[in-house]
Amino acid sequence: MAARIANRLLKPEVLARLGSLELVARTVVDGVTTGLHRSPHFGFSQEFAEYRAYNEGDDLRYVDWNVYARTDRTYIKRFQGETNTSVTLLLDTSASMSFGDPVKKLDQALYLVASMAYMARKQHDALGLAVFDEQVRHYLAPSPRPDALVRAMGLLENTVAGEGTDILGALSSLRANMTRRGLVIVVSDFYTDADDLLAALQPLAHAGQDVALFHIVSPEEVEPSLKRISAMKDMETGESTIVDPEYLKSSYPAKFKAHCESIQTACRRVGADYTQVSTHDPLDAALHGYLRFRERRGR
Amino acid sequence: MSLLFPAYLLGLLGLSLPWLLHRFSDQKAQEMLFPTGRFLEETAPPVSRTRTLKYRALMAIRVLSLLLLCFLFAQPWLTRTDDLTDAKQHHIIAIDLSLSMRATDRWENALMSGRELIDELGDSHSVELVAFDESMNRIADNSESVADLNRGLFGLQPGYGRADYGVAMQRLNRLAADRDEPVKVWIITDQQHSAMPAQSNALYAPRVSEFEIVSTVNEPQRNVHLKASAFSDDGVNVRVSVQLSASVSMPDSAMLAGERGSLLPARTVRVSFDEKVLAQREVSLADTDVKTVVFDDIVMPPGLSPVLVVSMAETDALLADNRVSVIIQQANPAAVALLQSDSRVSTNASIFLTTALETDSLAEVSIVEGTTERVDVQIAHVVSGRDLVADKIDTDILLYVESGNNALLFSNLPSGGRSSSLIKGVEVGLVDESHPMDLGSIDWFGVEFFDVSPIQILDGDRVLIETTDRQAILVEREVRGGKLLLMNDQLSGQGSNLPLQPAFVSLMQSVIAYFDASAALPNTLLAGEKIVVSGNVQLLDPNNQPQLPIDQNLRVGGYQVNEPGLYKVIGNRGTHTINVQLDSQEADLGLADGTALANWHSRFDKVQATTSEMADEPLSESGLDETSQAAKIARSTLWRWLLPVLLAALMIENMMANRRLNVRRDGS
Repeated sequence: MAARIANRLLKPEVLARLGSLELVARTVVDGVTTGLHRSPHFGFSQEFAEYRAYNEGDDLRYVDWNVYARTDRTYIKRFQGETNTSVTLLLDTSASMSFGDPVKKLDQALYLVASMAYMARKQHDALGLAVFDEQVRHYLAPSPRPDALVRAMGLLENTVAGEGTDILGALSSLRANMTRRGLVIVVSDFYTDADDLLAALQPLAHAGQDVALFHIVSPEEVEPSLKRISAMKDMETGESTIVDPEYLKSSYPAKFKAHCESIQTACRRVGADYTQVSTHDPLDAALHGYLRFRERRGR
Repeated sequence: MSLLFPAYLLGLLGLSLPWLLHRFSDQKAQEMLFPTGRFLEETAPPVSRTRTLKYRALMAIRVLSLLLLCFLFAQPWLTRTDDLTDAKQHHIIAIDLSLSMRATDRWENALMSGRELIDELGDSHSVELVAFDESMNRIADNSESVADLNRGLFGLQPGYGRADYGVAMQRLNRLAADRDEPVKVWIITDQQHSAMPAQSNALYAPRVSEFEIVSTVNEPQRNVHLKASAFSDDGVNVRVSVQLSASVSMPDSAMLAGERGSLLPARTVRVSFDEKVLAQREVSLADTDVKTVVFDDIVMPPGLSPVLVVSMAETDALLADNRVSVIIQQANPAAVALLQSDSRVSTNASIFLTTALETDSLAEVSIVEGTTERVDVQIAHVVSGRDLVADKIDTDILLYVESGNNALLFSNLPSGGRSSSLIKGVEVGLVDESHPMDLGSIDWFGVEFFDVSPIQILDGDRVLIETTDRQAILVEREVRGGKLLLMNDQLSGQGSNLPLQPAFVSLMQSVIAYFDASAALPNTLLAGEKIVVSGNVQLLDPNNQPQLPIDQNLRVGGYQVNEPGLYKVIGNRGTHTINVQLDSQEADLGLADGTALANWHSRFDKVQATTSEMADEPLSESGLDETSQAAKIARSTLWRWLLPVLLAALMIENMMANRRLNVRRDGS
């Protein structure tokens, strides 16, 4: 029952009514983590988590010998994970991100970024945030301080859509500041060439950063519904194109799908994670993807 | 058929709608925001030459649809105008039967005009003959035979009443409303000035499609109306007052011939009794003079109710008003007994009552001691002081009233001691104005009651006067036989100031007038008016012919006196003579001026403005020849095809519009 309620709460249109991004993030994260184990990581931590019986193959270093001496049984001592990883969230606020109805892509991206920021702070990670469109508009360097979350939330609360997109330029300018290895999470609609994206991601990967891409899409741009011939105006360039509804039905979806696949291929080439997030879907799937990513890379 | 109907023209304006839509329709595609144009491909626009051709065809079919719609909506009107034009007309011949039609040759002219109209219209149109004065009666029609019309026409005689063109037009309008076909009205009348209504709106007859006045006055006519009255206040000398009103009717033809008003030859007015001339005098009159002649040296002729005859020696246009019978009105006070059966009745009350009742010699009061048994049988009215607070009225009074007499009882209870000098009393509140005593016309200002005893109101009692605090002052109690009034006041001047006010005299006179049934009858009536008398009376006309079966109650509706002369109402109280005289207005032969007639016609012309435009054929040519009949059939066939053609046009339009959408969808 709790899971079902949490699922209902995670729907974007429900989150839109919450108002505060921090509240959104807390609602999302608590909803996602309900019923999960406390943490995916155990080991190098000062915070005791639990005892469990020793199984064959367990590292003998974690056997609690004091317990063994008192009870003559072997127990493995487990601790709350504390990774001290640096997490940098990159949010695309280009004009195209304001597309979508009733939930805009930018809104969904903000919920996602806020949720991941909240989750990162719960993991005691150093939290960094960059907001960009054609250039980097705001940047908060990764910081392990508790107020990093507050500053990030404040920045996200005031974020509005900008103009065009230049991921290559944005990542190039940010690369100089990412000296510490960690997680780099890019949230965008990725209206850029796959080659450009690859060129932007490769330096990060080579620098040892673990990169994850969250591709925000709106169902209306995946499969646009048009009743008659209309002029489609590019939200970033302002150019209009007379489009026939038949074309949107037949050819456009394949082109869009090919674009998504090219982005995905680029990610694979640099070892980056790729997750597509629809504005109509709850955020729990995306956050599970993030947790899996953390599990794989953060250990 | 005319296409100038305003609504039709307005509908034609709608034809420009498709052209405007096609001319200014927005060809620009709807603009929508999209995240990126990188995956979009430009659609090629449709070939303009093809589109233009198809659009013009579409526009044409839409214009055609609207035009057909316009005709479809106009169809009832167009077919109605055809019907109006082609239908036969109904003719109503209305003939004036008023007194003025008796003048010289007016009636002969009316008969001649009526005969000519019947001869002209009777065979080819439906014709109806009606006669009117202040009312209207259907006389005959030619539904069976034209002879019926002629019989009806020559059976008519002008009466003594007056005509009212307003009433006549309203009745004619009602007759016209009953007909489906257009109605033309012919009014045969003398265009008398006095018959024009005070409100010209009364002449408005929208259901009459055509209207024409046939005048019966061809030459100048002069008349002197004679009206007289006689009065004797001492029973010996008689004063006869004679009023002479001269009038002249001058038709337009005579005006053009240069005839002008002039001094009439001297008139000799005679007063005679029993064929013997008692007095005579010569009077000079101009055309429109009104003069009064008084004969005050006539001695009362012998007999109980002598009748004088006032006449003119000379003749004029209207003979009927040259001789009039006159009753000599004499002072005839009603006998009233003031019962002094109770010592509690104050002397003041007796004095106040006697004084008020004998004012203007209306009544003659005699003091009677004891009960009603001592009242003379000739006295039918009793005034007495009684205890009105008690539940029942004294038996002797009730018996007296039930035997057909009348009584006014006032309170004999002593006053409570309050007087008008100490406190302010209550005033008269509600007054029953519908009662025959006409209490509403009495000025009750200043009347105050200081000490009013409660009075028992029974079922059937009618409160005629009450104070502002709802205390009954005058009550009529229902008693079979006579009238019983209860006056809840001592009439001593202490319990109220009523006996000291002028209203008291008026009240007593009203009471006596109400008690005296014969006095309720008028002395003079105009011909055409109605007389209302109580039951158990007989009415004799001037020829002494009884007009009513005995016991007929004429309170409902009344009896209309149509003939001038002396009518007699005979009842158990004796005989009352009513002098029915001719209406001096109706005897005024003056013609309506040209402006009034022009206004009458102009009011009618406004109504006819639209229908006259529709009529292409003269009404007299009512028969449809074969050509026009064929044209009418062709038109009706066209109308029948109108709806299917419209439906077909709409279907084609729909198909073309869909094809247009297809063209745009595939981009060809």
